[in-house]
Amino acid sequence: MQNTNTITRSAESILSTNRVLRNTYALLAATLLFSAVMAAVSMAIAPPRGMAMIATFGGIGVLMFLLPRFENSGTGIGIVFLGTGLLGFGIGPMLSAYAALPNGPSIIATAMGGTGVIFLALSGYVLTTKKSFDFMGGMLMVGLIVVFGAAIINIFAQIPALSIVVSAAIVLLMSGFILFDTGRIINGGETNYIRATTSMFINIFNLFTSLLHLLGIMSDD
Amino acid sequence: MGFMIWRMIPVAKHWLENGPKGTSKEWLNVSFLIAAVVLFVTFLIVVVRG
Repeated sequence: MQNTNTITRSAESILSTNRVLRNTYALLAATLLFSAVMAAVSMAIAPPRGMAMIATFGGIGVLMFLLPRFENSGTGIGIVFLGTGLLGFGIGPMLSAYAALPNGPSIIATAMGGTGVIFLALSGYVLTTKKSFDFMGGMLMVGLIVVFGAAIINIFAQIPALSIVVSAAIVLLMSGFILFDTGRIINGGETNYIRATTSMFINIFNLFTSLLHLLGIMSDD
Repeated sequence: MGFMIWRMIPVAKHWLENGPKGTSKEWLNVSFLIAAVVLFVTFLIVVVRG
């Protein structure tokens, strides 16, 4: 009897994990597409930089403060689209600036392709091996605090070398977070697909912008 | 950003104190994956520089 219960619970747990995984990737694909459309709209209408900055901070605020209140209801899906759309709109002027460089469109395409390859390879590795990367949690959080601290210092110091180091560190940290977050979904540590999607979206968004920054600096343009 | 750091400190503290500790084999595995990312980004930089 106990064995039957164990098997049933285990099968239910696997089914639940698969459901979270499927919903997460479906919502992630939709939000990435929506965010890309909003970035294209922003590039087309060329809003003032102040408006783009307000959109970015608005997106962060929506995902950080508003989403946790609605993450267990259907409204949460709409809020995820609102937050990711604002973030996409916010990077429009930055993409326009890169696109204006002689090698700009190629740099943007390389950053986009590179982000896709890193995400698919790391997620694919975790999905195949089913390993848990929970042990990285502390190191990743501390790394993020250190990098944010360095980024704040560089707002005032304006040191180009520190800017490169911060972007490179964010690329590595986000790669670590992709392993960590995918591992948590696979092993049942994350059961809310709205929260999982938001984490993955932020990982991909930060990975793309940092890779774009890094490639932009290194391209000599 | 300062506010985000302030919000992240207790989370980081919680993970450091209560999170699972990885074995040296697990950390070696992660090191290989991160090294692969570094190599790939280096390749992208070479591609962009033409």
